[in-house]
Amino acid sequence: MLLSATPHQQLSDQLAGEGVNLKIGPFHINLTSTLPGVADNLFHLYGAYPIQSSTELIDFYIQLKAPSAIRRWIRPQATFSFDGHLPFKPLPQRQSFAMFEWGLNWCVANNAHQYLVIHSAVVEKNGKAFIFPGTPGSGKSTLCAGLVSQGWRLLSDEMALVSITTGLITPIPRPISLKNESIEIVKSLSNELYVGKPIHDTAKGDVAHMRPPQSSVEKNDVQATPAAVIFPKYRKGAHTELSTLSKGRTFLKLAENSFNYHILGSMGFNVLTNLVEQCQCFNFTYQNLDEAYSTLGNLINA
Amino acid sequence: MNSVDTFFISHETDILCHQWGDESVIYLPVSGETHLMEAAAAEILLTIAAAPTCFEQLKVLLTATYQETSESEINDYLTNTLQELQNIDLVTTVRE
Repeated sequence: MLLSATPHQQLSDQLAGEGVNLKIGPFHINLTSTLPGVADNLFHLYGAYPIQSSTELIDFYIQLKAPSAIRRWIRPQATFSFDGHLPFKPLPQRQSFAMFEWGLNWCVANNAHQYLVIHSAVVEKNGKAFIFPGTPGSGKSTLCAGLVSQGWRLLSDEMALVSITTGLITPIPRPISLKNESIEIVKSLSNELYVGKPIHDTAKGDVAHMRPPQSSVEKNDVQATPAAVIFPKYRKGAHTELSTLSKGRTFLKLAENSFNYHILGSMGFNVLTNLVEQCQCFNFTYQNLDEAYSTLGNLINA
Repeated sequence: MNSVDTFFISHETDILCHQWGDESVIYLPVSGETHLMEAAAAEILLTIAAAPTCFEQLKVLLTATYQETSESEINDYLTNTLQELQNIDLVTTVRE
């Protein structure tokens, strides 16, 4: 049964009890929480996911809860626990769902070493995956949301999972994390996009999440072949420009953007070499999203 | 650096290398370091890694590969590159 088809009270009860099991990308997750707002955000942002049976092996047991009784009432806080550990300091409770998203990123980046994990958005069209590695402010999430609104398949807004055995990219299509000005930009793209309520004053500024398309979630298990690595740079007033980047420099920048290249050692080097070898590599400066769609559309059709 | 120096690899290790055009990336499993360098510099490094090599031997190697380049340019390039490789502790003139 899809999560969105679950009655709200039943979802809340399940979260407060044995937890909700979801298969997100290749990972099985069990989430428990009694915090207000978690069920609601889960319903709206993960509604396209089927709830899994309790017989699945779980990769990550995640709990969102209040740290102590007093913190339920005075400046309420939330903690993120993963397999019983608390990797982060508590945050204000109104940030609990953002904390879930950040915490789940952390779980994958620190544990999924069957993949070379690169901090980047990944979208796919015509069987070709484009990888957009991004530093904060590069505009990768805005570009990713824009391309998804144009029918590209979302593989991830946050990380490329490159298989160390096949070199293919495994999808993990989760909500797209939008920050500050990009929230309104993405909301204005289409009435069909669902963007949740902004969470103000986080460490990253204002944050809101865009629901992944149902069609992308349904292809949760369909891997994609990497075709291009594109380093985006949003700059006000800039002309749209796609310029070739050398493969050597691309390699180095991808290694710097990887969460576990240093852990994988020689294997990481070989996986990254093969990835760069098979991809076209570019820097991409943009401001106008329509021009960006056109430029990247031409590239995918070339 | 002296032209009679023999150059050794600083840390005994296999070196992984991949070349794209005139750039190479190298990886040293022993330290986990990754470096991007000119393909000619990587060729020098790999030669030294294969066996201790002196300046003159490296000069012969580069002269054979880059026949259009003058001897003084090769001398300068080799001197600067070997210094750079020593600065980042990839090669040394002292056997450990």
